[in-house]
Amino acid sequence: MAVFAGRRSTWVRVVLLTALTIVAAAYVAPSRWNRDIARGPFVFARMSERPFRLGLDLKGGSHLVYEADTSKVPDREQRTAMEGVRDVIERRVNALGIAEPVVQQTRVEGKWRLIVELAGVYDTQEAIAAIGATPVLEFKERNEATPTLTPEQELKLRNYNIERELELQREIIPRARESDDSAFAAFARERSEDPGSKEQGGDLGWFARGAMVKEFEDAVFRLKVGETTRKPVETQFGWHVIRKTGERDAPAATTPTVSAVTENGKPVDVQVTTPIPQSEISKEVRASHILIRRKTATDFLGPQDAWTYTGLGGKQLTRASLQFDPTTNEAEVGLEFNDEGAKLFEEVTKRALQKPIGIFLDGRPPIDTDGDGVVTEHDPPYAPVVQSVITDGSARITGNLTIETAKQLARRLQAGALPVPVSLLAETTVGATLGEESVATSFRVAQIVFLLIAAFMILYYRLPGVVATLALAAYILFVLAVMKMTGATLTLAGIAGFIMSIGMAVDANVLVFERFREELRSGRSVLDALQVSFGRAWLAIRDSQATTLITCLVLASFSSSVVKGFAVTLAIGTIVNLFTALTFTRAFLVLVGGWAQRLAWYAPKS
Amino acid sequence: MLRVVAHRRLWYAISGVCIGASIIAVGIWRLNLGIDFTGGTLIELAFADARPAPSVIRERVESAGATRVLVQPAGERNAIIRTALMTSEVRAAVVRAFAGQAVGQRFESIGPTIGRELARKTVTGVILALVLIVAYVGWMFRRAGKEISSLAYGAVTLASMAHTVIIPIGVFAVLGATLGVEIDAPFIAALLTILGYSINDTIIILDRIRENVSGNRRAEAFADVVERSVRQSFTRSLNTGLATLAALLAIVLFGGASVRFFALAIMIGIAIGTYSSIFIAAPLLVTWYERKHRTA
Repeated sequence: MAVFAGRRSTWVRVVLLTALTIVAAAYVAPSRWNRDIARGPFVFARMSERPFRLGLDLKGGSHLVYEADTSKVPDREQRTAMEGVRDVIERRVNALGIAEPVVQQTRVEGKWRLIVELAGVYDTQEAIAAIGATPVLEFKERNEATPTLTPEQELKLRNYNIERELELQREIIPRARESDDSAFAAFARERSEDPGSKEQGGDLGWFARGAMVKEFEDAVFRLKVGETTRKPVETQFGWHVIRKTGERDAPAATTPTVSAVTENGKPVDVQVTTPIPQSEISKEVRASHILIRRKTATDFLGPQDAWTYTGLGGKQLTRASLQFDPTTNEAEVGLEFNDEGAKLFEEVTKRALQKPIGIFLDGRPPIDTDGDGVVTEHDPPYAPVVQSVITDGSARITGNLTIETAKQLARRLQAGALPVPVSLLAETTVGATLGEESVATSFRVAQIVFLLIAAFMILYYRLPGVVATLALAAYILFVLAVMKMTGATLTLAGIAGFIMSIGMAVDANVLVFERFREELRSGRSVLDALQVSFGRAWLAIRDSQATTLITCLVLASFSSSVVKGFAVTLAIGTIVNLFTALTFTRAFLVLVGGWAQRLAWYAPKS
Repeated sequence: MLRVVAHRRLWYAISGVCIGASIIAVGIWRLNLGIDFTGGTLIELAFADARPAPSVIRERVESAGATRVLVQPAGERNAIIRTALMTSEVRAAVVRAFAGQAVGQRFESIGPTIGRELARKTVTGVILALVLIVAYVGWMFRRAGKEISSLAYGAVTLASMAHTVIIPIGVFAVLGATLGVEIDAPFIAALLTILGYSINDTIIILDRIRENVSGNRRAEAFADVVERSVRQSFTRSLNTGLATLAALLAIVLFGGASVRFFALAIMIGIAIGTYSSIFIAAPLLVTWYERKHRTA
């Protein structure tokens, strides 16, 4: 082989390989390098301090595996849908203030998976809640259909109401009229069905004309103080038994205020239509009442949704963003729908022109609507009013939005557009201290392994053993440099694979050295024997490395990150090993082989 | 020196007993499959002060609502708790049960889907690795000579691999029954690694046999060529095996709890791989050769 032709080429190789090793060392441990060159007499380039990419098991954090249910999405749209899911999850995780989340999608046996890695996150509950929640974004219109009853139900309803009215006339009114004020209050607490006043013994406080529904008001103003109605007063809420408890001149303001009677805490608009006698405007009255509710079809059938789903939801919303009105410069939210959504939206806006469309995220308004800073199910619906029929699938939500609110609204609408539901399959969380301990332990183990092997090689193989030890040191540096360069993730299993590969890396050397001894014994000179043994051992080295690489390939197809990490480092180790065994060991052995010709340097006398 | 080929019946007997014992061990104790396969939850707790007895920990975890609870002490102050798959409420309750006393160091929750997938992948992975490697051997040894076909080399490699896979599984069945060691994803990685190592070892000996067979000008008997080849590669096999075992022993002794049994599995596999390539693969080649030439 021409490789061994001249001493000069051997020198060139040795110098080049040494330089390469030094560069690798500087690259692997840049902070040490930069510190040392600052002290030394020579000027060298500083190394950028790029860190290793540590796996979550070493630096601490959470690893979540999700499966997406894409059964309702056509095959060719699945990839796009998954990209959408990934983006949405990334945004949701970002919104929690988690730095650099890694979200990847993979396909395993025809099913789509998402892998979410959150470095430095140990309490995953919040993250899991944010990711796993499948907020459903729905656009709804007002439910205008009145519930219908079967004739049988209607009969039942009528009978119930008749019975209640009879009870009122026969029992409740007589007893209320007989009661003094405190007995009336006790009676109200016992029987009234008005949750707003029940606990106050039916007391409604002072009010003026215009504050209550008309029938109620008229009845109260007709009563004398201390008097109780003889007949039930019927209003939209049911039947009232009213006792007037006070009357006085109203304070300064005499303009009638249009307010509302509260029933279940919801405001009910009151229309003032009939003219009110001047004498009564200045009066304020006080009354207590007992309310017996009349059942309606709604009560009978259970609460009906006030809003009906339009079929328009997160699936059709392609984009929601903060934008500004070009003329007024006011903040607004721009919505864009896909083709299907545009068609639906056109129909909806035709039907609901000048009417509100409710936007619901998980059945709640997307932003705080009652001003208490949090969004709960008690917040009134968020329902912008449709101003015109929209045909092109691009809408704007405008009016009185602060930049902050508009931004929040846009983000929530966008985040709500999760195209397919996901479910958590597996979770791994490793604490930071455990990771640090693992790194320290691995480092110690690697040192022990290196020393053991070095001792063995030098004692057994003598001078070649020394060369092999140097080659092993170079091997370790090269593997680390390659890992850093390729950005391969270093995991605990990966380090185990690496440590094991240190053991296996000597194999190529052992193969050559054993052959070398045989050739020496058969009477060849040192350089001759080296040449022959490298040539003959090559086939065995090639085959053994190839089979290891085949195993690595199979292992890398596993989805378990433990197995994968092990396979990747073992593969890198195997390839690097091929390089160091054939270049490093060879060049250095040839070099020293030229100087040291005594056989005792190489093998014991046999 | 030991006469490897001449005493081959003895080696076959030893192997037969070991493989038989392994199969029986798996039959009796079954495999103690970990949550990687069955699905479930693992929590590692680090106690600030003295660690309570496992039974105490177990009771508390159970009262938090977890089922199928197993507690294993780990290190000086840690405890590894394995349970059936727990909901996030139960998890929170478990954390609350040890609040102020211990902190969670590791939490793994694996759904049954992933477990089934790993089981499937393991089987296909092992088969795929075997097929690929035998194909590689068959191809590389295709010009092995007229004396013996490349098919024989492939078959011998397979036999050697069978050892390497079956015996560690048997050992882990015993370890599972006695020490509660579980078969998890890293164990599968270990299995495939020792498969690769063992093949590597076998191939190096077969390589030497091939070389000596084709360079055989003295009309040496086939058995003698094999014996000579085994001797020539004996030191190499032993030295490489010992170097790798030394590396692994360091991991077993000084490495963390999570990689200890992983390294142990590889150690067992490498010891067996070294044995089987010297004492099984090479003699089997002689047996194959002699049977073929007797019938011919």
